[in-house]
Amino acid sequence: MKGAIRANPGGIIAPENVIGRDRLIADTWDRLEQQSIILNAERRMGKTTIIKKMQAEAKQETLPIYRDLENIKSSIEFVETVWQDVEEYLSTKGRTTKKVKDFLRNFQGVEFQGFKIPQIVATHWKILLTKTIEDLLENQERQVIFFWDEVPYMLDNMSEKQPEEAMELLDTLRKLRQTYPNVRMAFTGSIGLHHIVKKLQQQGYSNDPTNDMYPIDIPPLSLNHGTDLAVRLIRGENIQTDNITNIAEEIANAVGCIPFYIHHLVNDLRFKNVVNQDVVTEAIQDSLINPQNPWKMEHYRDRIHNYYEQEQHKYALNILDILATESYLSFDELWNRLALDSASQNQETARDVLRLLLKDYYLIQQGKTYGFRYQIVKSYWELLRT
Amino acid sequence: MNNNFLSSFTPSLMSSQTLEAIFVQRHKIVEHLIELVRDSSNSKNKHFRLLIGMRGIGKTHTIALIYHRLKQQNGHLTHLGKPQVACPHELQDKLLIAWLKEEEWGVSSWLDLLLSIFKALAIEYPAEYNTQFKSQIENLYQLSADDATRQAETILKDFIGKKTLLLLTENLDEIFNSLGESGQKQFRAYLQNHNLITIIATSQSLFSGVSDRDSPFYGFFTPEYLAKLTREEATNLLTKIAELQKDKELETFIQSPIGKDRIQAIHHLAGGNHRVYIIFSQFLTRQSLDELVQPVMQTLDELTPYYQAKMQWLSPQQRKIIELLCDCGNAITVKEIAQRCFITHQTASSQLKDLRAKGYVTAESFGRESFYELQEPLMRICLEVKKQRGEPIKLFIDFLRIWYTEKELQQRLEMLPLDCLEREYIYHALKSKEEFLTGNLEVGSLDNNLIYRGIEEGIAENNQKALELFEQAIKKNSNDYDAWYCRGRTLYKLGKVEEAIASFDKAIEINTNDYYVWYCRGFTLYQLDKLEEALASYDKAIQINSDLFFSAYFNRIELLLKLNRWEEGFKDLDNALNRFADAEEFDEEYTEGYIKIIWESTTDFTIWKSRLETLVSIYNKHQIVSVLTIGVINHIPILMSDIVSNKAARNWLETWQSISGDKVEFAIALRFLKTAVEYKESKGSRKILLQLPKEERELLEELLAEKSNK
Repeated sequence: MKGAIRANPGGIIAPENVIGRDRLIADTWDRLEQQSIILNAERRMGKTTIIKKMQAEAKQETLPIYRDLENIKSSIEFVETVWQDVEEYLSTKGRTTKKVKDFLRNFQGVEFQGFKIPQIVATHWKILLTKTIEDLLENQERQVIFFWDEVPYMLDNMSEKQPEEAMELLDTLRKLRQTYPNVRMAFTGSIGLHHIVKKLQQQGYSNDPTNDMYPIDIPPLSLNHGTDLAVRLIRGENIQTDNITNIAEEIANAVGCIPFYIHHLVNDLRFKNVVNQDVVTEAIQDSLINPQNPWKMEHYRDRIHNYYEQEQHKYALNILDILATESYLSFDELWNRLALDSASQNQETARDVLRLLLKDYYLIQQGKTYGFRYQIVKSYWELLRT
Repeated sequence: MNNNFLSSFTPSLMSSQTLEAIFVQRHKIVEHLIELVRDSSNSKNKHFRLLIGMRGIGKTHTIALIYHRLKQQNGHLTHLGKPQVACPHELQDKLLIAWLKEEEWGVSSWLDLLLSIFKALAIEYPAEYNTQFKSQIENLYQLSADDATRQAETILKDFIGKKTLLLLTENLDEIFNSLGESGQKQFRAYLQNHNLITIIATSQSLFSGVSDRDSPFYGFFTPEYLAKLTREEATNLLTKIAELQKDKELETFIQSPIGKDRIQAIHHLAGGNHRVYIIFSQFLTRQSLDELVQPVMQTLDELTPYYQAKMQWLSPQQRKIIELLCDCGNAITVKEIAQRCFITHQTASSQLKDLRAKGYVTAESFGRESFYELQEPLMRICLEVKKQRGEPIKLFIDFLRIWYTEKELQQRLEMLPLDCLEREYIYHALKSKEEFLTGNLEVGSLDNNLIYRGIEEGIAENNQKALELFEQAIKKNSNDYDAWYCRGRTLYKLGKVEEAIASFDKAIEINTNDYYVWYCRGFTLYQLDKLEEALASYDKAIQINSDLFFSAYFNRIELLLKLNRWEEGFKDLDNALNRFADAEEFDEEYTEGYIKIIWESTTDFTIWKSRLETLVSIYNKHQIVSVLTIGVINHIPILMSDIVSNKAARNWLETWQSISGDKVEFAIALRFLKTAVEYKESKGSRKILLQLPKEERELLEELLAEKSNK
């Protein structure tokens, strides 16, 4: 059926099956004409899906190179990976990474062959990286965009044993962006880059290596697009409904128009006889509170205990409890409510925790007011706590 | 290998025909998964599914079936004459399959996993593997691990080429544990970078490697929970096994009431586990319990290593908890578990949560208190057997006896009092029909046809119509014995007991020498509480046919007891048991009647005791104490009645305890009785029931639910 899509929660989505991201992608291309970017979002918001779609649908005048870097553990591995990607591309044009190979020949005294950079030159990874970029730029005219996925994981891997290397890599990449205006980078990651930089800062790093990159937030879909996605998935799974548009809208609304959850919910409904509003409501309730459900919403509760300081717990819980029953509140309104509890009496701590909740994707700021970022988290919190 | 070979433990060894033939419940899931493989092969979509279920629930069976269906390359399959799911023959040039089977013990890194994939591909595609890749893979062993990993990644990419590789991966949780975070990241990066692989994996539970937000694979796999078998599905499975093995006896038996009850018994023990049904199917048809004992013992022996292996899959702390639950038998609280295992409440909670997700335990909550117990009673029984060297076997057999016989009894009880007679009637009627059909009955007249038709209507429960036909026959011939007799039976069934007796009397007037009509008359009079007259009718029936008419003896004893002729009744019981020593028909039905009369005869503790002691001594003498213990259990619904006081119920319990408390044969019966009385005293608190092991509790619950029917 035209427009029908199979539910694929968490899997790899074909670019043509990515719904409702055209505006975001167009804006991101516009931004990439100006500068490099960092795509930020909570996990499973579709960062990888979006950049793979961008790669697949890039304009002629850009050269997109996608690479997931989470398996990289050292700078030289990173360089080798970038070089392999560049070499692979150039070889399709009958070209090669001459500068890199010349450097290796000079260093080793013999002609370099193969796809593995010798360990002996590992300490010269910065030179190799620069030469790789130069080779690429000299052998083609297009603007290069490196879509590097899971950069924070890579840095985290490195920082375990050699934090200095992670720091140097961040600085080197920044320098390359500044030196070569035809090179753009798009970083994404499952964990926030700010967590890694903060970790490095605790070990003496003092730079702000991504302050030249524009942060782009990935929001949920619009209701129209969320509904459109749900309609296509319902068709793809051949689910019978009493009214497909209404049910699709119900689904999209219930999960705050996040594609991952829309896919999940439709997948959960595929063996039901006829889906109506009650069936959807029941499936959502089950998904939100059933401990066996893969949505694992309890993460939002557990994270407060696991990652927040002891004295911050009560503040975080109180703020979320209050906002779960409200739409948006200003800080003053929030504080008036918070102060009613003897366990949350310090206004500065309240501000600190509010900032953390914003950074950790619990909340979003709209003007001077605060509310839950995702409707689905709000619904969960409401079910769990109030 | 026999094409119909049934493996209880290694479904991957079974042929595709066998796997299809015994496939139940999961048709939709399998068809859906194949559709997803098709989507993954035909587009840039790649699906990742995780089949979740406890060990023995049929994960490998499902995987094996998907494998075989995908391997079929020649259009539509037919199996056993049935159309199969459309075969994805168009995938021939688009799909490769690598099946990583259950025991991938050698995987401890991403490189190991790559090598396992190569081994699986070598089995599937030996020609391509040997000519193009074998030497390259051999060369990997000359390299450092890091270099070999990169090289192996490239080889795999080349092997797959423009196709999609379906990885059928069993025990993904174990593989992820071995890979660690670093290996998982390498694995995921490979999937993302090359977009060549789709995965259908299995796991016992939703494990942290795919469910924790901090894990690389968080949310990557969509779980498909494999449901436990319902009783109907278990019956379906066993029917298919019978068909496959051309076992007509089993096929017929499964559909019989006793067969259904035995499946129910196994269902309670198996906890929905496919594997256990397959094993028990071998001796489902054993006629008597004695025949059952040996194979059950053997099965327990065979299952023990399986359950021991299930223990091996757990952490030491979890094993300790399982062992404790085995020792306790019944459901216990988190607090007790924590105390007995010397762990904190929080640790116990989190371990139990994991054990629950893995299908080892179930939980029941009362407010904030949760009670945990083992999911599969058989696991406890097998592990107990090993530990206590056979002692629990006897109790287990006793339990099976209760199940096997109690269920049958319940059916009879449901029929009583009206349909008990009906059963004999149908028997009688069928006998007549047989005679009629074989020409031994005097036929030829319309009257006989009317009777025959009336009997048919009676069997179909069209009693009013039957009555009309019998009355038409009487109208034609007012001296037709059969017509009067059948009319009496039908009136009885319609609840017109007085009229029924009149009709029987009329039949007796015509023919005074049919023992059966006297018996029916006795039974009907008994319903009217005309005990003396009923006794006389029974005496007459026995006088006419002293050898053949077994039921009349034991029903007559019931009458004697009811008439307070205790000494005579017990003496006759002893004699009857001597006389019918080999009669299999003597069972709990009569015993329960005797117990009920003793219960109703007095509220005096000492009189109960004296009468029950006599009863026990008679059953003991004839070595049928087990029948008596089942009678004790089946009496429980009467105690649960609202008109029975707690004090009376407690006295009854204490009477039995004083008579038989020290006898091991009574252990289960007294445990049931004690729990039931405490349940009554607590005004129906389910917590009390949790004192019993799961399989006993489920039985008691059924008895308690019957209270209103008694």
